[in-house]
Amino acid sequence: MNINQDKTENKRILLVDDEDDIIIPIKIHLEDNGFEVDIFTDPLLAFSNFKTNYYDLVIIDIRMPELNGFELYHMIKEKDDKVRICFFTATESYYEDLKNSNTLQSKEQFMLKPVSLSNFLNQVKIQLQNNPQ
Amino acid sequence: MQRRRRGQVSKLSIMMGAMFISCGITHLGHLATSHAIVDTYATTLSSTLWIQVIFDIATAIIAVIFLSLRKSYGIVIDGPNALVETKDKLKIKNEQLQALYQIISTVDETLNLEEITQNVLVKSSKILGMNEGAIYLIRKTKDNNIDSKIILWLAAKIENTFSFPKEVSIHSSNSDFTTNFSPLNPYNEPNLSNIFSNVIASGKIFLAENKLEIQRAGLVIPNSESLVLLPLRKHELVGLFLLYDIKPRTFIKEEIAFLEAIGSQIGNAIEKATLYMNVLESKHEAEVLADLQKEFINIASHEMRTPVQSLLGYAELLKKHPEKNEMITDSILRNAQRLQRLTNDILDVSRIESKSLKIHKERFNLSEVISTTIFDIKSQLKNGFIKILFEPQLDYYIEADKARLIQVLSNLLINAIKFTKAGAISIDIEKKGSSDSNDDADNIIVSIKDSGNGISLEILPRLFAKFATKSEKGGTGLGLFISKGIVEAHGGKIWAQNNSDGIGATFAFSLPIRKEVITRNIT
Repeated sequence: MNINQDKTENKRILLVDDEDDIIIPIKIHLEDNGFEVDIFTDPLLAFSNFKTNYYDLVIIDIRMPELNGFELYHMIKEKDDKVRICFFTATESYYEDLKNSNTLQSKEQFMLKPVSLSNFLNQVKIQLQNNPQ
Repeated sequence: MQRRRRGQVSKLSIMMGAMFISCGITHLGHLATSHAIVDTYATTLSSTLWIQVIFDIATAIIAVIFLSLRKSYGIVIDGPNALVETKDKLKIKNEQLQALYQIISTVDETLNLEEITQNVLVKSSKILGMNEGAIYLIRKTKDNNIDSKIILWLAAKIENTFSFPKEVSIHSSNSDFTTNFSPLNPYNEPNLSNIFSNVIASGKIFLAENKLEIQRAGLVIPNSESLVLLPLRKHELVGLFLLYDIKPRTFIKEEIAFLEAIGSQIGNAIEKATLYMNVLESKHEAEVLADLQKEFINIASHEMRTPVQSLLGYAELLKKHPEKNEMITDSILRNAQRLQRLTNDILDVSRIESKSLKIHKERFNLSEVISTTIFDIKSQLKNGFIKILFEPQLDYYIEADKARLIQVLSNLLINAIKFTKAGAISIDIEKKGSSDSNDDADNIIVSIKDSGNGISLEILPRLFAKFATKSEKGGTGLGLFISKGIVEAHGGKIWAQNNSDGIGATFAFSLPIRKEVITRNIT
């Protein structure tokens, strides 16, 4: 896929996952590629720090303590109904749940772990192309 | 039933009609012989004779009615007051038949055990005029160990004076009921096990018409003067039906027959309802199992994919950022170890389920092993607000699989830490003697008390089952299942309970040890 690098540079991404070892390499890789990335391992903290009309893309894990990804999705959408949110999870069966609840607008909104950093980057770019702001 | 009653009335009317005609004809014959010339029956009959004819016919009708009563209901009438008495008996009989019909109709309409038993109890006590009662049903255990111990559970009750016990246990040695006079227990519950065991053994209805007869049966119920205990059975005994009253009474033949009919009909209904409940239970168990399997796939895939994601990410990053070598290799090692633990857990579950978990016993100092385990876990602790207290007064030398025991201790400690935000975790060792004097083993008990949130009452009964403790806090939910498997493979037991002060929970396990285990004071 031919990705236009210029269109995705300097975009702001919020990444929420309770696993340090997952989000740290992703953050470094995305920043290496010109993105501005905020990361949170605590979903409640991520929500309280969420800035409306600020992020181009929000990527959230689903199985998290205190607040799961579905709940966080709805809370963020209440604050910012235009922001594009995609899920990054290790549990395949959540895809059907999200599809059945009409939470997913496209298949690309659901990213299944494990994925290489280069593939992750490509998927992020696709998300942003689909949702130019 | 109504149709049958109409049928009986109709049969009676025909019989009466036949007798009436027969009697009339006989009487006419008699008149013909008494009076030589009779032109016509109507014109020659004097008024005296007409009265005689009417009297004879009435006598015949009454005879027919009495004959019919004897045939249909077994009621014999003697003496001048017998008619009133018979009418009363007939009324009772009729009410009992109606009650039996109602009871059978009710139990046929439902497969709900609670509805069946409560309906039967209320209607039967009303018709027999007895004040209190209960229905107990036999609880079938899965191992069918019914010979040594029978548990009866309270399915229905009418309580005015007593609280019926929810369960009554009967041991096989509990059969000599006639010599057992049990005092009233402090909970104001009648001691039912002796009398229950006798009726179960005999399979026959037990009736007590006065207080003395009740006491002879080993039962003490103050103010109870009469009692019925009825086995409920169709193909096999399913339960017992108890009624008693504050007045002494005599049980008439009809009442006993009524009770026996109930015993059989209700036994049948309960058998059917129990089968239905078993089917529902099996269906529910299958659904729960399917949900658990689905959940296992979800948890296992999450637990496997998460460290693989980290390994992939860090490996790719290492190529681009060789200068971050140290941080990245540490992370790679951590995640590789996490995968290793998951693999081991899944293999252990498989070994426990196939009963092929091998225990390699060696002799070691338990106090020392606990201290080392605490030290290792403390070094991994991110949460600095938790204290782990372990101050043994003795060294306990035991024979066990050291590596497996460390696994159990680690599982329980990590679990305690996970659910304790702040406070302390204390570990204790206690040596307890076996209650069996022939047994040459004692037990060593290790308990881990935390000050966390405690265990939810919903999870508590299945705490040591697979995935019961899986939570969003991470983990596969296999740790406690594996710990239980390891402890049981040593011949020990594991349990957990919420602390009595309402703060946190205590997990404990026991291991059998030889009585001559060496304990040494720590200097």
